[in-house]
Formats: sequence, structure tokens, C-alpha cells
Amino acid sequence: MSATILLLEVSIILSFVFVILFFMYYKYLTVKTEMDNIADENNYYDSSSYFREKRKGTGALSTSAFVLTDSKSIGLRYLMTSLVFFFIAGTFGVIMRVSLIEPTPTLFAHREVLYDILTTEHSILMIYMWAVGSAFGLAYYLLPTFLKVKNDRYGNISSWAYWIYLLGGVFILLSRTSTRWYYYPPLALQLNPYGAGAMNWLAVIGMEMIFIGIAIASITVIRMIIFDRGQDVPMTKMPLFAWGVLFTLIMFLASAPFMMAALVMLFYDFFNPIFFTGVNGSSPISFAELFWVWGHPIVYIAILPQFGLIYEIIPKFTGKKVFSYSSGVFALGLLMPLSELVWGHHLLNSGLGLAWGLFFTTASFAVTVPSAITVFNYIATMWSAEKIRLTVPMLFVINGIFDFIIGGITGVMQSMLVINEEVHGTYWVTGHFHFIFMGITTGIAFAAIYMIWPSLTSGRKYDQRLANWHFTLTAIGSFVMSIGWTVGGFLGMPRYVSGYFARFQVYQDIAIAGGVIIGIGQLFFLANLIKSLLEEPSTSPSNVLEDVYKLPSPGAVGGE
Amino acid sequence: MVEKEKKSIRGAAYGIIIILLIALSLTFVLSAPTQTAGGLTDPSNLPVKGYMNITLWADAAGWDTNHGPVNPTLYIPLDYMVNFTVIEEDGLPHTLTINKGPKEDSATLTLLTTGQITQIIGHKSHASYEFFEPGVYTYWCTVHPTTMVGQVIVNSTASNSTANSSASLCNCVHSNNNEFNKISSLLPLQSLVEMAKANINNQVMTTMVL
Repeated sequence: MSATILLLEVSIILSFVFVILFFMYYKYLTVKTEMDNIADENNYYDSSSYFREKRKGTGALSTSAFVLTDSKSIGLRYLMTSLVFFFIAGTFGVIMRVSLIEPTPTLFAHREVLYDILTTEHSILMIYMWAVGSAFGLAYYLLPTFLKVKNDRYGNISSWAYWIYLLGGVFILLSRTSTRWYYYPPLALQLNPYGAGAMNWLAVIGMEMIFIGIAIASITVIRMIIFDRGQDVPMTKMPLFAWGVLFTLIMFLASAPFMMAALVMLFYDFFNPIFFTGVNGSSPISFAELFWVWGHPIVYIAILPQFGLIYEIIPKFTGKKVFSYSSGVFALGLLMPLSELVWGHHLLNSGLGLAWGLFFTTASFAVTVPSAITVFNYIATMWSAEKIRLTVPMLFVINGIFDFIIGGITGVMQSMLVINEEVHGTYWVTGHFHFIFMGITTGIAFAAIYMIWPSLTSGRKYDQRLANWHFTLTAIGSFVMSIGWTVGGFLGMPRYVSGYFARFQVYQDIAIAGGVIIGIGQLFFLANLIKSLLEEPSTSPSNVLEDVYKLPSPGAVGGE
Repeated sequence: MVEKEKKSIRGAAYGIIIILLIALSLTFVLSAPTQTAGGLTDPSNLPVKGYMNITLWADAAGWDTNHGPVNPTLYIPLDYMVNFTVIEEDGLPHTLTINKGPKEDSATLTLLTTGQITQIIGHKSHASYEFFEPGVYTYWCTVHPTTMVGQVIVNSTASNSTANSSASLCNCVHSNNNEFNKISSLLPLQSLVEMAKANINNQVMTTMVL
């Protein structure tokens, strides 16, 4: 094919694409104007809220959420995409586990880079698309009712932020990068067609887009919490979930610029390597430092909203108020500055020096204080109750607290300067954060999804048996998987590699068993979702979780 | 009625979309371009002219043949299937990796990984490989690349002779210490002899073919 014909074909295809895009935009604009007019006639500030409230079924998992721009719809968008990415990245994780069935790569023999790609995609998509995405989804979905927001504003900006964020996630998936989620430069700057990432540049762009999306969304949510609260919800009586989200987003805005700047510098290094490649006194370590200034807060961003959610969920099952509201706010608030001070414990083996090492170790130890306050607050709330209803969301919460205690203790241990020498870069670290991410991030997100199930499915109940299986398999699987890693890692099993020394066979086998159990467990969730959506609506599409200011009467709890 | 059916289909569609997207993304990611051993992999239907066995002891101080000379140069006739046996000697992780030309090229082939060479002292692991192109190869351990590195010289003409396979593997690496050491080895009658002069770091300085 000659160049002229190619050019001609490309331009014809492109013009068709643009014509179709313009037509779609024209249709959208027509409908939007019409909707705005109708909303205006009915004294509504924006059309999306009007249609959400007037039309039945728009609060549920449906495509209309992608067109409407009210907070609930945007929350639903985030929830739906985060679930999709959870299943995609989860499949990657299970495939990775299965590929480690023998010490020498079997599934990926002579193609070991596929393991690197899978581990990178799994980590990036799970953290940014599932943990952050589900947190944003729940925040957008729950906060308007939690805070009795009257003017649901800046929906268009939130919508744009969502699309930028989604496109970033798709770019990450399309880039098939293998740089790990920390983008360390010598590897992240590889542009060879094989192995270390054919399209690392796309991964960098995708990550930057995710950041831009989250940053815009953060600002709108902070604005909603601070300025758009209802008149009768003072700051001091805000639900703890709102506090958790507020602290999280402030933490994000305080630490993300480091990584955003570092990514821009990294992208510049593709063309003119001056920042991180070692020329003229530059150093790859400086990227690592910039990354971890952001990289430590992100792991708190993944748990702080869920901490707040636990405070909202437990009273629904005990019928008692939270034991201590003020200490709850204090602990969540204290985690915010502390998380910014401990990033160096990820680099204790990178030659920061003894003084810095001791500083970061001590700061990491200080994090136990707010964490312990939070956990004891949960326990005291449950302790003071006469009776706890143990249905699936509450089981997820209890399992989350249990897993968080193990994960927290292993985390504090590994940030100790001495023990870090032993466990740095081993599966101990993987076990530590999977305890927390599976228990808190994933477990609480699922607990909240089960609690708002009737709203999500416009008035359907979830199947109790399937939900119980989902919980049981997730809890057992995540414990088995993480404990295998923790023990094996303490004995020196290196992580992030496609094979392992044969003497670690037993720990890998335990982790494989756990991983496969988790994978099967999530299928029960999917089955539950499809099953209940195929049924007839059998209950009211409201849910207990959103009604924060009223404690339930016994027997009317949960979304069942 | 129509509205109800529409809703049910929409509900099921979400689950189906999730499954479809999982399948799509998995196929896409698993079809990523990978470089498999950079042309070192044996093409299928190679003629095998003979077999030979090479046993190496894996020690962090250097490959050896049962406490013999360290990092021996292996002479292998073309198109011979070589059965490598690696015996763990020191309980440390090792690999047996080969490459055409010098090591640490991007195109390498690891015949035995750290998983296969278990850290159990005395454990034997096996791998076979047929050198189908003549030339100078390097074999080394990726864990100890500076100490455990040696050369494989694949002879293109020796395969035509009636070479005894064990004779081709001559232990003719002589000691650097003794300058009067006589080179003596059993060679096939008509074979190409390549003499290599190496410095103390085992880097080949000059070669000549007799």
C-alpha cells in the first residue's frame, strides 16, 4: 500500500469518526437542553438531580448514570467501573498465583515478562481503579445524603474528572507496562518493544491522567463537604465517613503533586534524560523519594474512607451510637499528618543514612497510636452493644478489623530499621498489605455495597446464601494467602519475581490455595449481582446506610 | 411487561459485560510481545548428530568439574545434543544461562533456573540443549556472574568426523600459573582445533585456528 492511499484511508476513517462523534454530541446537547428546561420549570438547580429523583430506577446500576451528572450518578459510575476493574485486576492476580505452581515458571516459561506485566497491572489497577475508585464511588454516592446536600453542584466538572480518570485507567491497561506500580526510572524509561514495557510512555500518561482526574474530583468533593452541607449538619456533627473522606482528600492534595511533578519529569526523560538517569549528578533515587512522598499516603487513602465507613456500618448492626465520636475524628485526623512523615520507611535500604532511618522508623511507630485509637473505638462500640446482628456486612467489618490488626502489626514490624533489613523486598511486605487491602479496602467496600444493595438494584434483595459464601471464601482465602506470604517472606522469599527457590514451595502453595479461594469467592458476588438483577423488585429502593441520623430498630437492619 | 424485561436484560448485561471485559483484557495483556531467548531456542526438527553429557558442579567460586579446573571451556561439536547435569555444591542459588557471544546481552537463554538447581547440596538437575550454530558462547550463573562464567566453543567441522563425544570435551584448559604446562588432549583425527589465549580474567585475547 502506498503512502498516499494509506493517508487517504486514514483521513476518510478519521472524518467518519468525527462525524459520528459530532452527531453524538449534537444528540446529547439536544437532550441536555430539553432536560435543563424541564428541570428549570420544576425549580431544580440541575437537571440530573431532578431526573434522578423523579424517574424510577435511575439510582441503580444502569447506563443512565453515565449520562446524568448528579453526585449519585457519578458515584454509581465510579462504583461500576471500580467493580469492573476489580474483577479484571483480580483475574490477573489469580493467574499470577496459578503461574507460580512450580518454582520454575511453567505457564510463562520463557515469557517471564508476562508475570511482570500482570503484577504491574494488578497493583496499579487495584490501587487506583479499585481502592480509590470504590472510595470515590461511595463518597459521591453516600455524602449527598449524609450531609443533606441541597445544591448538588459542579456535576459537569466531576463528570469530566471521571472520564479523565477512566481513560487513564484504560491507558494503563493498554500500555501493558511492567514497571511495577512505583515506576522506578531505569526500568520505566525502557522503550524496547519487548519485556520491560513496549509502551511505558503510555503508562506514564495514563498515570498522570488518573492523578488529574482524582485531583479534580477531590476538590469538588472537598467543596461539597465544606460548603454544600445542609444547614442542620454542622461540621462537628458530620458523619465520621465525611470526616474520613475529607482527611483523605486533603492528604491526597498535599502529597499527589510530588508524584505528578515526578511523572512529568519522567516523561521528559524519555526525550532528554536529565532528571533521573544519573547524568550530571541526577539520581534514580530522587524519583524513588518523590514517588514515596506520594506512595505512602496512597495506602492511607485506600483505608481512611473505609475506616470512616466502619463507623457508619457498626451502629446499624448494634443499635448503639459510636463509642467516641471525638476520638474517632481525632484519630482519623492524626493519621493525615503522620502518613506524610513516614514515607522514608519504604526506602530504608536505599542509603538514606542512620539518622533518617531512625526518624522514619520512629514516625512509623507513631502511626500505631491513631490506628489503635480507631481499632479500640470499633471494639468499644461493639462491646457496648447488647446484641450484634451478624449478617454479611457486619461479618465483613469484623473480619476487616481482625485483618487490620494482623496487617498493622506486621506493618509496624517491617518499618523497624533492623527487621526491615530482613524482610525488605520479600513476600512479608506483600502479606502485610494484602491483609489490610483485602480486609479493610475490599471487605468494607463490599460491606457498603451489600448495605446499599436495594438502592443499587432498584429494590431487590441480595441472596443471603451467596453473600455468605462470598464472605466466607473471601475471608478464608485472604487470610490463607496473606499468612502464607507473611511466613514465607520472613524466611526470605523474594517478591515480584516469576519464580522462587524450591525451598519456599510450601508457602507459595499456601498462597496459591488462598488466591484461588478468593477468586472463586468473587464469582459468588458476581452470581449474586446477576441473580438479584434478574429477579423482580421485592423491597423499597431505599437503604439503611444512607439514613445516618436514625439508628435502626432491631430486626430492620442491613440490605437484606 | 416490556419495561420489566428490559430491566432484567440490563441487569444481566452488567454481569456479562464484566465477564467480557475480563476476557478481553486478559487476552490483550497475555498477548504482550515477549522476547523468547533471542533466537537461542532450538528450532524444531533439528538433526541430532550425537549426544554428549556434561556434568558441572555449581559453586559460587566458579563452575568446576568435580573440583577440577574452575570454569572450564567446553568444546562441543555442532548439532550435538548436550545433556547438562548440574550438581549443587554450596547450597546457594545458581542458574545455568547461555548466550551466543559475551554474556549480559538481552538475548539469553536460562537452561536451569534457581528453582531447578535447588539449594540442596548434591542435588542433580538436568537440561539438554543442542547448539545448532557454530561460534563462541558464554555460559554463566546470573546470580554469580563475575565468578561463575565460562566459554562454550561450538565447532562446526568436528561434527563431520567420527568424534567420540567425550573426547570433544577436552579438559585442555591449562593452569595460568604454570607457563610450561603442556597441553595434551585426546582429539579426533580430523578436527578443527581452536586455541585461545586468555588473560587472568578469562577474557579471550587472541584465538587461532589450526
